[in-house]
Amino acid sequence: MSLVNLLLIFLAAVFYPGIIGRIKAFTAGRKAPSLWQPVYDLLRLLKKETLYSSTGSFIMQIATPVFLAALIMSATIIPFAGTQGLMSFEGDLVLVAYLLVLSRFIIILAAYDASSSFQGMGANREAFFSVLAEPAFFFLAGSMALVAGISSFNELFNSLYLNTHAFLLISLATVYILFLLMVVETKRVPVDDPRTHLELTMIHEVMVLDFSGIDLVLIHLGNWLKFALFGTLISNVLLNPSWNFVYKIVGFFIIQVILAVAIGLLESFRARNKMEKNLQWLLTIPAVAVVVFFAVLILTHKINLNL
Amino acid sequence: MNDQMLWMIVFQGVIFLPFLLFVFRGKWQFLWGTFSLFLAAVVTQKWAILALSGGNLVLPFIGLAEHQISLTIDSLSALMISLVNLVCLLGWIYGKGYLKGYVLRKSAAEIAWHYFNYIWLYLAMLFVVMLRDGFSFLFAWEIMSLASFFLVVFEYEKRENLEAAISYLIQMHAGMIFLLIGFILASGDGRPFGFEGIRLYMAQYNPFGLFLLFFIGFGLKAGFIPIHTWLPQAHPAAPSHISGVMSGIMIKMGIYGILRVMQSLQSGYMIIGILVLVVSIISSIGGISLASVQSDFKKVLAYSSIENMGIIGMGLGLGLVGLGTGIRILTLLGFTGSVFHMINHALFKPLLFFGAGNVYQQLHHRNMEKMGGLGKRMRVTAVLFMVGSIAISGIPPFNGFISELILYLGIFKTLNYGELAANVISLFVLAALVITGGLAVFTFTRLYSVVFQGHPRSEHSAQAREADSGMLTVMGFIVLLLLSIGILPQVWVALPLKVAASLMSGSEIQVLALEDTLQYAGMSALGLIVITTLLWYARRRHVIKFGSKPMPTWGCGYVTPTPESFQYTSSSQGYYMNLQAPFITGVHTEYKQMSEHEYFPAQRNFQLKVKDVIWQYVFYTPARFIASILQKMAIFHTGRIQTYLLYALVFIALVGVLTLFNLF
Repeated sequence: MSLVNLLLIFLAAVFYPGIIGRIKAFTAGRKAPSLWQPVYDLLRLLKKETLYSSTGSFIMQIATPVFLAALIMSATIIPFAGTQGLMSFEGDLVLVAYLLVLSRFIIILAAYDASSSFQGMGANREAFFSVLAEPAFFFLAGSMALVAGISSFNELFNSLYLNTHAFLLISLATVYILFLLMVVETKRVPVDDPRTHLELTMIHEVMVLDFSGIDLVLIHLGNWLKFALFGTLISNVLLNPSWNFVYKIVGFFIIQVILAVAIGLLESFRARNKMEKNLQWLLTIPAVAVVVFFAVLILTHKINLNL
Repeated sequence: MNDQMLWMIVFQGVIFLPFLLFVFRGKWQFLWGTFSLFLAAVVTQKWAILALSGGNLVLPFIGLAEHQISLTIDSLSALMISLVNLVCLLGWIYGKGYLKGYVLRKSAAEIAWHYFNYIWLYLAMLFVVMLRDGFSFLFAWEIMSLASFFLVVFEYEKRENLEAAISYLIQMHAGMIFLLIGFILASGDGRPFGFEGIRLYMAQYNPFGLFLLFFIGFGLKAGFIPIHTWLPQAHPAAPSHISGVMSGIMIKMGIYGILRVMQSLQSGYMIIGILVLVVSIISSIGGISLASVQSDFKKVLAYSSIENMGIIGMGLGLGLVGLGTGIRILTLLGFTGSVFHMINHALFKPLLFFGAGNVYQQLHHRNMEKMGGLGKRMRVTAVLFMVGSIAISGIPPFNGFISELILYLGIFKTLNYGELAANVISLFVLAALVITGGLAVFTFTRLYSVVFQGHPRSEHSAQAREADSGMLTVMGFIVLLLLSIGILPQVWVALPLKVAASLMSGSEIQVLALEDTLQYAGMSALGLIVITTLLWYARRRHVIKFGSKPMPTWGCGYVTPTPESFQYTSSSQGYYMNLQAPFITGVHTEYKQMSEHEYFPAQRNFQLKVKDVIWQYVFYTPARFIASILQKMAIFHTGRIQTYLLYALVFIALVGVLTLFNLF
């Protein structure tokens, strides 16, 4: 049963870039590319030679495998609406968070390997910005633990449905924060624009500037997987584990489509932040998470505020 | 009994062995030193294993006057003994290769003196963890400080090393004063002068004041901010194997002292826990922030040690809060995570310092701005150093992740208890742990990339060669240990768990939950490696079939790009930290801005300097100020006996007048 989670995540991953591309084309008044265009792009890349930077070291050979492996490992832990992942244990959400950090770490090193100021800028920004956004994930987990008690990821989501008022607050805030974290992790607008290739304004694109061929394939797959990971987390909050399994699958895919559409719309109508503004913007995510934490604290302790 | 007495006599004999080092020359010095170290290690490790498997050991050592000094070994001492043995032996073997570069410059006596102090540092650390009597403990502590001073000052030819070492000596003794006052305070009223006296004192009085004294004294050794100032001075000045040993195990002696004092606590857990937490959080965040902007290779590692001591302190603080609120699982996991992090840090920090030593041996400077591209020239060092960087950032599949996982688990488990104070504290500690983890990634990607990746930034860097195989073997051995802890953490956690349980009174240990988590964590680490290997293999197949080619990095279309100057420098990599927190990093830039009317700008230099704000403003500037005032007092030193007789006369007259008016 747990393999189903993995399959669902991989399946969702394949659709995300296609849907986002089509939405962006619709809103821009262009003829939309096929839903499968990103897959065609990957197949095309697979027929090409892999070029790498001559200043690169052994890191360029192992970076993309480590990157994708870390994300695949995370996928084995993420539960799906009541069904636990391939691996499920107390504290596994810490492992998921740190596997994401590993994927970031190795790509940053690979970017520095190219030894150019573009990659340096991007990697440096990536390293610092993630410090600002990361606490949000843990604060969310803390809020959930306040209500439900730490267990595995799976049981955390299960127990969320047992309370009423705390549940509503947490689930709304969780969806909001997870969505923003998805935007930050996959480096979409407003943190970073995947279309811009202006040297001073790229973060993710510039880190992978010197990857080609199979490396670029693995990077793309990893990014798609990141979409699916966060999308699955969001659907866990919204789907009731006691429903019929078929309803859950249908609900899952509907949520993924909605999220992809939301990202597409966000990319079309929102401008990318100025780089300095990014620091401030990123800090709002853990700030909201802290507010949620305190709100849950007040609710669970039933502290009388005498307002 | 006879067997035990024999071992004790052997150990007592080991104390005299180092003196014979001066008799030998060349490789016999090294062999004799190895023999002494090995003997001491075997004896103490045997005791440690006995203490861990059986009960505590109490072994009579010497009798001085009517005072019997014995060596007491409980689980905590046994753990520290094991760590001291491991780290010092590794440092010794590494040091042999490292010191080869000094054979021409240093006489045999200097090398013998170095080995002598190394062995005495090792013995002193062993004694520190085995002695409970106040006088002998402080004696061993003092020997530890002195021996480490002589080790740090090995390269005294460079003036800044000499200054750093003397500053280190002074600061160590400043800490000693606090310890002395603490022991004296605890020993009033007929209480014994030692840790037993502390326990009796704390049973009677409010423990906060005494704990604060010991916290400052031991915390100075451990490197908590704001008493950390010796660390970033002494570590760069010392030879790398000494930095590795100091950072790997000597600063843990401070933590050991704090743990011993904590063992005597019977009340006041909450307030002391909050004190420890506040200091630890400031140390960890401040330490890693400062680490991310340094341009001295070993200063980065020194500040990172401060950060890790902060993490260990956070675990201790959490444990104390757990004791104060009655949440036993928090105490158990907090102490376990803290002790496990001690073990982990004692492994990967020496690894990193040894890597720095390899680099220093080739380049003879520590300025990161002039390094670069060393990964091509020193391949094995680069790989091992990268593993160390990943481990210290707390990333799976290595050991750093495991200790942080245990701390996170403790925090999350507390949150369900519904204890308000614990929950609020948990939030802060959670934030601190995540932020330091993120900044550690920031710091170590910067360190690794500037030193090992890219193009050489100076002629010198292009000439580096790989280090000796002996040095690399030591580093490789440590990497194997890191990996084994990452893959089999449930085996390795037994030791910290035992030590943590011994620090808590009471019985039941919820081992089972932890075992499950760690087992899966280990399996994930293995799974990660397996999937990476599969993907790497797939990539390789593809590359062989479709080809791969190295090309110059995209240079933005410039006609003659100069790759060396095009790459990111270490100062630019610290940009965001300097931008966001200049008050922490004390950054100032030396650059003459271009004015509007300067139509043909002249050549300019840009320099970015950071300084340790606490050293500069809390210690150094006030000390200089006081010294300048006292220099003016030199007026009174006329050097003539007549003036001094006048001073005596004035004093007697003053005393007489005051007595006359009944004011004295």
